[in-house]
Amino acid sequence: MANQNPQPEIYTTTHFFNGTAEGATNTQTVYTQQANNEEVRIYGFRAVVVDAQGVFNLTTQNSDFDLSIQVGNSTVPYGAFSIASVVASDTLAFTFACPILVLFNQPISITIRQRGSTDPTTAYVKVSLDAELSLQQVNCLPGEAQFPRGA
Amino acid sequence: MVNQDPQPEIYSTVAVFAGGVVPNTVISNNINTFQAANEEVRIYAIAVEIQDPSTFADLAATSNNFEVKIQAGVNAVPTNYFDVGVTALSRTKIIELTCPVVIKFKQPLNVTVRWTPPSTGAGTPTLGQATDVQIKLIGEIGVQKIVG
Repeated sequence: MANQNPQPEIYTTTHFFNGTAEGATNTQTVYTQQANNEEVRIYGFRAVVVDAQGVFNLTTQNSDFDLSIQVGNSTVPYGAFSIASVVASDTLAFTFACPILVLFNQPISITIRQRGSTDPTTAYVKVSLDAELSLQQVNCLPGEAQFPRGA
Repeated sequence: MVNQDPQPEIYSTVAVFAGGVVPNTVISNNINTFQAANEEVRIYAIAVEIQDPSTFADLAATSNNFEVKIQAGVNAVPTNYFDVGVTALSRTKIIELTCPVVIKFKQPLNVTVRWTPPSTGAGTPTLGQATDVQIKLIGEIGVQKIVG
């Protein structure tokens, strides 16, 4: 439920890997708490790989992971993509070409998949979605009775 | 009370964590915006630094399990706690919000920082050393615009 229209949102998930094999996945659900007339737009994300103490060191830490975002019954973007370049960048951030749209009753889940072979180190992959929550914009002419279908 | 319309504002808070605190320790700071009844504050970005309190050395590379919540009025905006460790590790150390947080007259503004290390299953972890988490809200204050 939005307190202002629109309002910024940042959804953080943490994914734990501990000596898992190649192809291991970890999925976390995001709760948007949006009302039925609200929508969420995800513009980008930030990602980092740390150990349990929060130490960030890419020379000792495996950072070869794929990310996929499940929105409703589909994944958006269509396929999983590597976050290794994001984790190695100086901004640790990635911006989508256009926003991911999340409507009411559409579950969001973030899946991280380990690409490399079995890694003895412990890795916590933290993903933060940069988003905004707002009322759905309705396209209808003044005085029209078609609200909210639009003209 | 603004001197110009709008005028930039930077609200700084420091959450001081003692060494040895347990997970989910929270520290809150209130921010006084000094806005008049016809003024509003808009926050566009958040700067984050994780520092040693005595040497001011950057600790983000070794200790960054911190989350932040911004209370604007009766509700938090964004809705939930969010990770700031990734921001403190980045070159810019700034989160640009997708749209501004708006604070109206008489709405309290509060920044809460929480230490949230992941559960390792090996006892209760504690924060290794005293840590300051500096949060700067980068925004502007202006006279409310009335449309129509």
